[in-house]
Amino acid sequence: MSERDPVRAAFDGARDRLQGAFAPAGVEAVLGTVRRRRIRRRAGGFAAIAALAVLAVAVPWANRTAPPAVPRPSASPSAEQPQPSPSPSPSDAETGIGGAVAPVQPCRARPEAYAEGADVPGDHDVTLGLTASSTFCPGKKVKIFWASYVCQADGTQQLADHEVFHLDAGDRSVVAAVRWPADPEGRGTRIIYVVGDLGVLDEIPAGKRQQYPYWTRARGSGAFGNHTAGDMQCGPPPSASPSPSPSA
Amino acid sequence: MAGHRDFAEFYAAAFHPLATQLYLHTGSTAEAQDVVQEAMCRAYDRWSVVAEHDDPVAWVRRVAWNLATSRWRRMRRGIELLTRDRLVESTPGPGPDRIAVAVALTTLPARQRQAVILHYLEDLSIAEIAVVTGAAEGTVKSWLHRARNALAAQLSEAIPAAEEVDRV
Repeated sequence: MSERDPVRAAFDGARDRLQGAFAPAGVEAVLGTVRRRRIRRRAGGFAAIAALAVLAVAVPWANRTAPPAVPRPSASPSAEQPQPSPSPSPSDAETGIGGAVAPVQPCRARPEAYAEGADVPGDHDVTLGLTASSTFCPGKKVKIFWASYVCQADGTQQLADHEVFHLDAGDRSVVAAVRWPADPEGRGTRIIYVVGDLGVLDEIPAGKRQQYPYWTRARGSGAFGNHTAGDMQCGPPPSASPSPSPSA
Repeated sequence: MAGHRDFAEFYAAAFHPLATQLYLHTGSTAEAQDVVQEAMCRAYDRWSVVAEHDDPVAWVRRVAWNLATSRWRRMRRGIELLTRDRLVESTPGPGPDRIAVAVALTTLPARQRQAVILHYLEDLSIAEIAVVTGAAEGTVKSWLHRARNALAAQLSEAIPAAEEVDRV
């Protein structure tokens, strides 16, 4: 008869003694723990998806370049005008035709005007026209006018008469009936010819020979003709006139 | 619903033997209960799969032992004990002086302790212990041999004294 293993006997005794020594938390605790973990996992999954969605939006937004240039709508769009190509070719980029490459510059007409028969005293016909080298904007006319002024005793020049015309590439000249103003006091009169988008002045202040800017090719607008009659006693320019001394 | 009922039966049958093993290994009833409860939670979380195993208890046992021997878990547990005021055990465990084998087991290295507990309490074969511990069978044999000798030596001194106390 073999002797019983003391180690096994000790373990058996321990098993017996430990009966009832533990207080299990119970199945309900397991269910509650698992339920909470599943909710947490689901919330974590949603949070991760939301974070990825935010990143997917935020990263391209942060790395975005300048928005593509949108061609400006022209004042009077016509079917003949070339539409900007969605993918401009290199030649387009060089010439600036492609709207997305080169910014669209507003059209600026550069008329070159002339007046025939202007330097004639009395009422006379003057042909106002635009030379062949003038440039026009599509659908826009070029303003051209004459205006007559009379010198006043206070040195100003008052508008006596004027006439405004509008020309374009197809109608480049007009005959105007220019009338020299009456000058009963003999102070002098002036007729000015102006082209471009300028207003007709009612008065030219004292000391100014004329207040319209002179026409230049760069400016593309201004006075291109200036004729006077009489002595033009409108007074010298203020800077050239010696101011009277208070003590004098 | 049937799964819930099955799990409840499984829990009732398996909790106590597993807690006994892990108490003898860790020396703490709270730690043993905590580890077994966590293993049960993991089993329930995938109960549809675990229940299909040939031996669901083996699955839970392995998880519980892995938790008990996890260094990371031990470290976290230590931090918890340091940061909390004091762990209060809801059920005071049996004192080591009451169970001689528990005292003797504390003198063994952890791997030998695990092997001998699984062998004597769970009646696992050397091959099964090798699977649970991830060691070779020869290694398990060696652990068991050394552990048995060490325990026999200690128990031969402790048991007569206890028997004398019982007779009085």
